[in-house]
Formats: sequence, C-alpha cells, structure tokens
Amino acid sequence: MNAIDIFKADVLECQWDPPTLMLFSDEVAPLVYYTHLLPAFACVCIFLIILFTSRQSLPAKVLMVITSLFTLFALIDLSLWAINDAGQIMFLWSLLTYIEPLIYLACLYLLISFATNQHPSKKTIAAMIILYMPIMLLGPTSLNLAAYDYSNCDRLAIEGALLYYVYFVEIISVIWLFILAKKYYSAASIVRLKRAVIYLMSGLILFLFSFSAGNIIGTVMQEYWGENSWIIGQYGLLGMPIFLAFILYILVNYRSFNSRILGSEALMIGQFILLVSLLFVRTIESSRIIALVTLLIFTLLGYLLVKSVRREVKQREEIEKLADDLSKANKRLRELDRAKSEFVSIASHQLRSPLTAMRGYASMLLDGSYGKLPPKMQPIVEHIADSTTVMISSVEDYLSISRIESGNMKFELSDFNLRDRAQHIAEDLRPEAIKSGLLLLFKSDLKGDGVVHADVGKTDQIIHNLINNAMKYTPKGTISVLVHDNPSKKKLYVEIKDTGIGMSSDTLVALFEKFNRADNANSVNIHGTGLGLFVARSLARAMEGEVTAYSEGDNQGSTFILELPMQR
Amino acid sequence: MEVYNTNMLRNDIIFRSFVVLAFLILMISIAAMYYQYIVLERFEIILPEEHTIISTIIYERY
Repeated sequence: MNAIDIFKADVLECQWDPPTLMLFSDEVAPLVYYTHLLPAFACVCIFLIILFTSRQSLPAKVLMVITSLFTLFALIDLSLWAINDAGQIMFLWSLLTYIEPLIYLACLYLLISFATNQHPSKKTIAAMIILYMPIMLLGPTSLNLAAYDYSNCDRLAIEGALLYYVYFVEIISVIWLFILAKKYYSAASIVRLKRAVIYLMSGLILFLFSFSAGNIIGTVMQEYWGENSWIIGQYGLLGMPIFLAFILYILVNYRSFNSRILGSEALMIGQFILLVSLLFVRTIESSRIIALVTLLIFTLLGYLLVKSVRREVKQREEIEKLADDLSKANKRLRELDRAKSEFVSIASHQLRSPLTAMRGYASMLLDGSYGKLPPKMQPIVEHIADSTTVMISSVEDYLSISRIESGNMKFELSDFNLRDRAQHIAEDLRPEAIKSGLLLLFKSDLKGDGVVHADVGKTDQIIHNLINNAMKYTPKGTISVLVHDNPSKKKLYVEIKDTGIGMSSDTLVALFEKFNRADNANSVNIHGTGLGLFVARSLARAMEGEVTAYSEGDNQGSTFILELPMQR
Repeated sequence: MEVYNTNMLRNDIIFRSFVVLAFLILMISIAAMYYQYIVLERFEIILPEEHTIISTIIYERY
C-alpha cells in the first residue's frame, strides 16, 4: 500500500464528504464562513464600485488589484478548510504563499502611485520583482510546502523555510511603506495632501495588520488561548474590507476629504450593520420588531445627519473659497488703484506745464506787456486767464491726490505763526471777495502765541482752499475767518464761517470723500472737481491735524474748521 | 542627444523584458505546482507516528 492509498483510506476513515463548489462543507465551522465570505463579498463590492466610478485613476486601479488578490486569498483560504483532496490542498496552499507577499507589495505600489500620481520608477518595480523572485523560483519546491500532514483530520500542509522569506518580504514592505510615507509627507506642499498621505498610510497599515492578524495573534497568543487563538485571528479578515473601503474613500475623496463627514458616515454605517445583525441574532420575535423599528428610525435620522453635516461642510468650504476670491479681488483692486494714481500723476505733470505757460502769457497780455489790448479782446483774454487758473487748480488737486495715495507727498514741518498766515491769506483773497460782492472778515481770539507745528506751504494751501471754497459757495453775505486756540488740548483752529448755500446732513456725511460734491453745488459753482476738501483733509491729517465741517442745513451757511497741533 | 535616447530605449527594452520574464516565471511556477500536486499528486506525506516528532519543529498555519 503506497502513501497516497494510505492517505485516501484515511480520508475515508475521517468520513468527510467532498465539498460543494470546493467551498461549502458541513465540516467547516460557520464562523469560518462569516470571516471569509463576508470580506470576500465586501471586496467584490468595492471592486465593482471602483470599476463603475473611478477606474481611470491609477491608485484606484491598484486598489482593484488589491481587492482581487484579497478576494482570491479569502476564497482559497476558505476552500482549504472545506476540501478533502490532498493534491488540491497542496496546490491551493502553495498559491497562498504567492498571494500574501503580493498584497504587501501592491500596498506599496498603491502608496507610491497615490503620492506621485504615476507608476513607481523602473528601479522600484525591479526591486519589488527581485524581492519577489525567490518566492516564484522556490514556490514549486519542497522549501515552500515540505509535506502533507495526513496524520489527523486537520488537513494541513507542512510549510518549509520559504515561509520565513515570505515574512521577510512582508516586513521589508512595511518598513519601505513607512519610509516612503515619511518622505511623501515631508515633500507634500499642500496640507490636504499631507493629511491624505497619513490617512492612506494608516489605512494600509491597519489593512495589512488585519491581514496578518491570523498569523500574529495565532502565534503570539497560542500560549494563552491555545487553539482558540487561531479562531480569534480569523476576525482580522473581517477588518480588511473596512480598511479597503476606507482607503478607497481617501483615494476618491482626498481633495474634498473631511474627517467630520467620514466620521458621521462611518458612525451611521456601523450602527446600521449592528442593527441589521441584531435582526438575525435575536430569537424573540418582539425583540426583532423593536430592532426593526429602531433600524428604520435610525436609517432616517442617520441619513438626515449625514446630509446636514455634508451640507454644512460644503457651505463652509464655499465661504472659504469666496473669502479667498474676495481677498484676491481686493488685492487686484489695490493694484489698479495704484496704477490709476500713477497715471493721474504722470498725466497731471504733463498738463501742468503748458497750462502754466498759458496763464503766464494771458496775464502778460492783460498787464499790457505786449501792448494795450483792444477793448473787444480784454474780456476774452480775462476768460482765458480765469479758465487756466481753474484748470491749474484742478490739476494741482489731482497731483496732490496721487501724491497722497502713493505716499510720495513730502512735508517739511516747522513752527510758524498760524494767525499771521491766515490773516495774510485772507487779505490776499479780500479783493476777489469784494469783487464778488462778499465781505471777508478776519478775527483772532488767541490765548497763546498762535504758533503751530506744521508744513507752511500745505497749511497755506488748506486755508486758501477753505476760504476759496467759502467764497465759491456764498453768492452774497459774509465770510469770517477766526483764529483761536485751546491750550489744554494743544490745538489751534482756523474757523471759516460763511452765509452761503449750506448743506444737508446727508451731504455732510460724504463731503470729504473723493470726487464728491454737494448736491446743490452745481447751482453756484460749476468748476469744482470734488477733490478740494478731500485734499485739504488728507493734508491736515498727515500733519496730525483735521478738517471738519458743520452746517445747519440748506441755505443756512457752513463752517469749516482747520485744526492743527501747537508747537512742541 | 541621440546616444542618450538610444540608452533610454535600451533601458526600457531591458526593463520590459525583465517584467515579462518575471511574469513568465510566475506562470511557469504556478503551472509546475499544478502539475506536481494535482496531476502527478507527488508530495511527501507525514505518517501518524512521524507527526508527533515533526510537529514540534514545524510551523502550523492554523
């Protein structure tokens, strides 16, 4: 009687029936079916999800390979429990030696393709193949499977030394995985990618740990749990599809990956599975009904929860995007504003020179430098001189604004007597006021010496501007200029009060804005640009002063006050 | 430039040949196992009396 015959006789003595489809046998405990068929089925589902949703992505393709390999592993492992033919057991068992390290290497491939979005380099692939080569070469030899143990009904193959090499490959793969993950984490410039690498790495490690759980727990805990340790190790397989699904989730959603959404979804799915399993475990009918009702309520509430979390996260992301767009638009606007100021500055400079020449020659014509003007020409030349004066003043305003906005306005601060300057300007403008039928008064009510610390030229410009403004907007009546001080606040004031057209409170609010003119301004003065007051206030503020305006209302007159700091 | 391209091409051919070769080895290896275990049914068998000695030094999967 040869060895095979002895074996076959022994099988008959064990009285095992041949399995159906190489998988289903009465000899196999139901737990083994749960721990193998469930993950295999889940992996097929994951495979199909990838096939129909994201098969274009390279990492997803690699994940498809991993799910296929794992499904194959689970089915072969299961059939090893069920079949009773020694030849088949030996063949399938030796196949497992091939599949196991392949799954580890495929995980490595997945991490590389995810982080770099391309296949690993030729060197890396070659290194993987070289690492795997001994398994392929020695697989059919007795180093892989030494013998078949027929001595009892456990149907075991005796594994040879190649198994240790398989373990070596697996350990090397895990170390390699860690090193690469660290490298990709450091190299990733986007926070989201960094996070995705960590999540993917965790998923892969948990997946591989579940995969080895049977071996690790079986070996380490055998002393304490005995034969049961192998059975407990079987539960590791159940974890694998969960981690595979987690990996898939990261691959597909890493750009919009959000732990809050994932958390709420995982909570819901976990509870769902728990409740469904309760339906099968409970034997009392009433408990089943309660579990069913809970399941229905939970499904509805869980759906609403996930939906609301998704919506909230989406809204927040939209807001973040809007804020980002807004800040970009703001930056662009500031650049445009600066470009505009530069343009105005250049254009104004070009305009000012010819205008000054025009005004100069017009004045000389009026003075009679080129002979007496014919009476008919006199008003025309006067008109030219007036117009150029207005235009020069507008151009000066534009220039001032562009200088203020670009920060190029220079101030030469010194101590000087404000009362003298104000009086001087008022006297200068008096003939013009008289010409317009206005009364221009000057008063001083100083407790101190009236010396301020400011730029003389700019202060003159402001006072001139304010008095001129008062004259423009006062068709008839009085303009009074009052200089007073407040020693306790260390401030000096030039108050210009007129009996002109006044302003409504609405106009007052926007009076000092650029290009803004009072609603009723055009009725008396057609030459304004709406820049004078803006320039005056900007200059005053630059000298730590202020310009303010008051008015009781339309046709009630206005008061403008220039405030400047006293000498230090 | 041309030399560089030729090198690249040669490397590529070597790499692809290596991958194909590895795949062939894998297939042949599996076929060899199939032939040995299923067709020939040729493998060592441990008898009951031997098992008691061997099981102390070998690794058991389950």
